[in-house]
Amino acid sequence: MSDVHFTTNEALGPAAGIASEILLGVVLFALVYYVKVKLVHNTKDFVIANRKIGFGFGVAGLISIWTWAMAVMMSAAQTYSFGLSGLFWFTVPNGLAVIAVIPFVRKIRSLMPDGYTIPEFVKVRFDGNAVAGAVVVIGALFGSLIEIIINIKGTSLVVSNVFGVDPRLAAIIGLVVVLVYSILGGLWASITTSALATLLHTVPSAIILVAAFHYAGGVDAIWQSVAAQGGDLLSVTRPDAAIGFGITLALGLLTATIAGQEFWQVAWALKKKDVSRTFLWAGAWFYPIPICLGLLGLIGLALHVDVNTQLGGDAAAIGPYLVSHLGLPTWLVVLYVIVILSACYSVIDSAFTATSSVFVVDIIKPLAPEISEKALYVWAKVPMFFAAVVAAGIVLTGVDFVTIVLTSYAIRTAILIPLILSLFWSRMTGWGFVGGTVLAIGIGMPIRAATGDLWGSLSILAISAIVPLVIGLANSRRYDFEQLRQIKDAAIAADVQAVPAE
Amino acid sequence: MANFFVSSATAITIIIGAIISLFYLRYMWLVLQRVAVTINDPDEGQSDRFAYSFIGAVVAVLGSVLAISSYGYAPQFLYVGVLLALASPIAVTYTFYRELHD
Repeated sequence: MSDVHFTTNEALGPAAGIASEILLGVVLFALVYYVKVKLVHNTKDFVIANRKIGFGFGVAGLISIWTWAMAVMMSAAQTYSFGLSGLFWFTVPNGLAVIAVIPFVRKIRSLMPDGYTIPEFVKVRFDGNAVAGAVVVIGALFGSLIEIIINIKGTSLVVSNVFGVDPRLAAIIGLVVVLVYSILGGLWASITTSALATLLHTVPSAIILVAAFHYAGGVDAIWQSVAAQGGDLLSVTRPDAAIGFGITLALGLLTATIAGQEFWQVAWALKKKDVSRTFLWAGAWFYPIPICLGLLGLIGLALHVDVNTQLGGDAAAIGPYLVSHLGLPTWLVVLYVIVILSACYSVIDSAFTATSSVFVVDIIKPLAPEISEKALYVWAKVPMFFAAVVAAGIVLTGVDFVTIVLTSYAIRTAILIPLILSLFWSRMTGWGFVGGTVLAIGIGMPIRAATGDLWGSLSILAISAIVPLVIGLANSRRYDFEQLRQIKDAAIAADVQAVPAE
Repeated sequence: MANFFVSSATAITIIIGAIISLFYLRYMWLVLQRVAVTINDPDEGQSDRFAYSFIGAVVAVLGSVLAISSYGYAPQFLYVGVLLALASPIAVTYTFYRELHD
């Protein structure tokens, strides 16, 4: 292990970083241009892909939509921090979170086959309760905005660390690239570019890891070095990993998928027969990505990389640091950056599409039910632009977005159980939904601030369950779920409805 | 050139990865073309009756647990991650194949 020296690759200048961002964007744009010409002709194509996404694109798209920059970098970071227990607690709940959505998407697709958004479902389910609808609209928009901000931060972090590009410039280029192709193709753009990104997350990861093994002295030396450090680093049973982040992360991941518009929109966009198997295969075949890239963290442990002096105090930098300092050829370093960029881009375009469908279905259509198809198609693109501007403003001004993250997290966690009850319990009421969500945030967040993530999250979940259950049990009326089947397709504009089918 | 390909193991991974990528891109392209042709066809109306979700979920979770645990048994098992990362696009290629032939 002592033979391994860390060096800086002089070929990795800012121009190469900017070129990587733009080059990936050009490839994705070319794909989306084809998709736009062939598949996207109206608002329904744009926001819900005309419900024609099949098994292949569904699986490939979902894997990449769920592969945040976090999955690429944090898998290595948690392995570096906790050994294999860190990798275990990061990875296992991650794939499970996608698979756990199956009962919910199967149910919602069966009850409300022509739906688009979570707020739309909530409003219909509670007879137009505007407060319940507003809570979910805010939650959905905040959630998407946070996904954009976190992943654009990931883009700027990697490109600035590896190539020395100004992080603000890297963020702006990344946002513009994704915005351009997202505005062109909507959900079809998101799904097809994500399908390509899934290939970029897997094959290059395998190549980079094998090369990293070589430069780190080989698998024997790596394994022996970690084993010699003791501390159960090669065991998956360390309790501090579960308590330190594992249980909280698992709850957060379940919330992100089950209450995430990005997943519901795919559930409604898939062909009916493909919904369950698509989510199962996507969850199962997502696993190899963190399982593979997490090993960079083990290499970091083996080489005794110091978190303070070499990683600037941030364990998340272990992957980019090793790849750019182990002496790997320049093309492999660029390939690693492409892996992370493609992860960031695919999450951002999915979040852009989510804001678009919420805006069209839950804001524009209720305000202007007679809007023409042409106008609706234009309006569908507006929220993407605004989301990009707000995200850029937050990232560029350096404003601490912890408050936005916490608010978004709290709303999504607080919505989780009321949303599940809305789907499966006929006595659930609109005011139970609102009361459970608002009280969970109002009481749970101070508890979270005082006691930390674990007890805070459990408190939010408990309050959001107890309140609607109590209100629901006091309610004698039972909801007839068959009413949901009568809901008309909300993204069909007035002038399109007026044209008889050929 | 030796430095370019890093090592024989890396070169083998590159070759296998390139072959997998070719098949992946080919089937992705074929499905995209098929979707473009059938985009206006009505949905067949078949319901979602995939019956293996629960068993599949258990297998997937146990498989991931086993893969991560295996890293702790012996150095050679560190290559399990590499094999899985190459298996994932093969599985996705199969889903494209299924979509094409369903």
